[in-house]
Amino acid sequence: MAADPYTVLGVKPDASQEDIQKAYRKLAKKLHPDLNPGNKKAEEQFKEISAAYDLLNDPAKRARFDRGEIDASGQDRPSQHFYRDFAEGGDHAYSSDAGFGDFVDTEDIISEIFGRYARSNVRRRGSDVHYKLTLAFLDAINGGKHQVTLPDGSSLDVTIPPGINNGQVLRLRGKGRPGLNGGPPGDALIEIEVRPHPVFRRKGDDIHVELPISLADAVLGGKVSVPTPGGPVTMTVPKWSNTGTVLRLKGKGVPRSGGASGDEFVALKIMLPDKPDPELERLIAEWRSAKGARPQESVKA
Amino acid sequence: MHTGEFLAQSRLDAEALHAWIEAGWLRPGESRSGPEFSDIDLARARLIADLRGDLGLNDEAVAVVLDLIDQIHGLRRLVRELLDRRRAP
Repeated sequence: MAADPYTVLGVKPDASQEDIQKAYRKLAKKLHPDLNPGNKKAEEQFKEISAAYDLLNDPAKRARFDRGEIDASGQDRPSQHFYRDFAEGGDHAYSSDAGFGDFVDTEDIISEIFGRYARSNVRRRGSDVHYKLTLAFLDAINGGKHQVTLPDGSSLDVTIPPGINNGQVLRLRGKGRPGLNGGPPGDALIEIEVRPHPVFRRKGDDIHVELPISLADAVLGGKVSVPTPGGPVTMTVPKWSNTGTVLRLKGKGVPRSGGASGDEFVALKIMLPDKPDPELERLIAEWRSAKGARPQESVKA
Repeated sequence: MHTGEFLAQSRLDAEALHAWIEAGWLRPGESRSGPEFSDIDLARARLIADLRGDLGLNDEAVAVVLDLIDQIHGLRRLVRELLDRRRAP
């Protein structure tokens, strides 16, 4: 008499279909014979949980079982040979010495054990090639084509997607080492390093810039030129703009896939002229004696 | 067996079979009339289907698991060989 399928899977009789699948997957990962090549009992245990799962995973069958119309026997899957039953037998195309290639260097042991499928005959996927590419800040923001020279001397054309981030890895399928004996080639993995920029700072999809403005523009307002990754842009500084004011240039940030872009945020910083200006000093002195307010008065310790 | 019979016994569709061979997961022999499959290829196809279906692994995980399983079997063979030699040098 077969055991109760709910007990076999370790779930309650009112478990949801999702719980049942989760429980089966967890057990299957542990008990699948090919994941346990050294455990002879695994086949029997796996058979038991698979039978229970076949019964409970089908809502119609499960309902009939719950009502007592069918019992748990007769759910067995057809007997199968697992991969492990073949893998250690004779010589075959999947023989691998990768697990001990570093211990056993002599070709004789390899060919004795693996026969005609010795290392040189096994078809294998080529290994991946790793490379680091350093990009200028604006090249990373705007994207484009770059040529990369690999360690073995060959060169590769890489298309950089606009907005790529520092640390991202581009995978170029099939551009790694060629496979052995007709196996597929490996991939080229390009790690991107982005150099910082003296003016632009990136936060997510937005660009941040600090813009010095003149005293006159701050007080009276005016048009100023602002650098953006796409080129300089004219911006209006509103009159009476204090240091720290942040203005937003919509869509002038980092391009996003799908067409939209982030924004550029411009923080204003009022700068006095480089050299002292006697006429300005005189005007301000007159103004100060007339008005007198000092902003420090609002900062009390 | 040839491709047709293999597809029938493994219950795979031709597109999946092509993808799995491209990925290096299945390595049938070559004959003048096309790929030649044997029982080990059938069992391996069953394993791949189990990993993707019953165990719910994605393709990246399947590739890693197959590679590790192959390494384990290679190691087991080596261990058995070495133990045999110790018993009867």
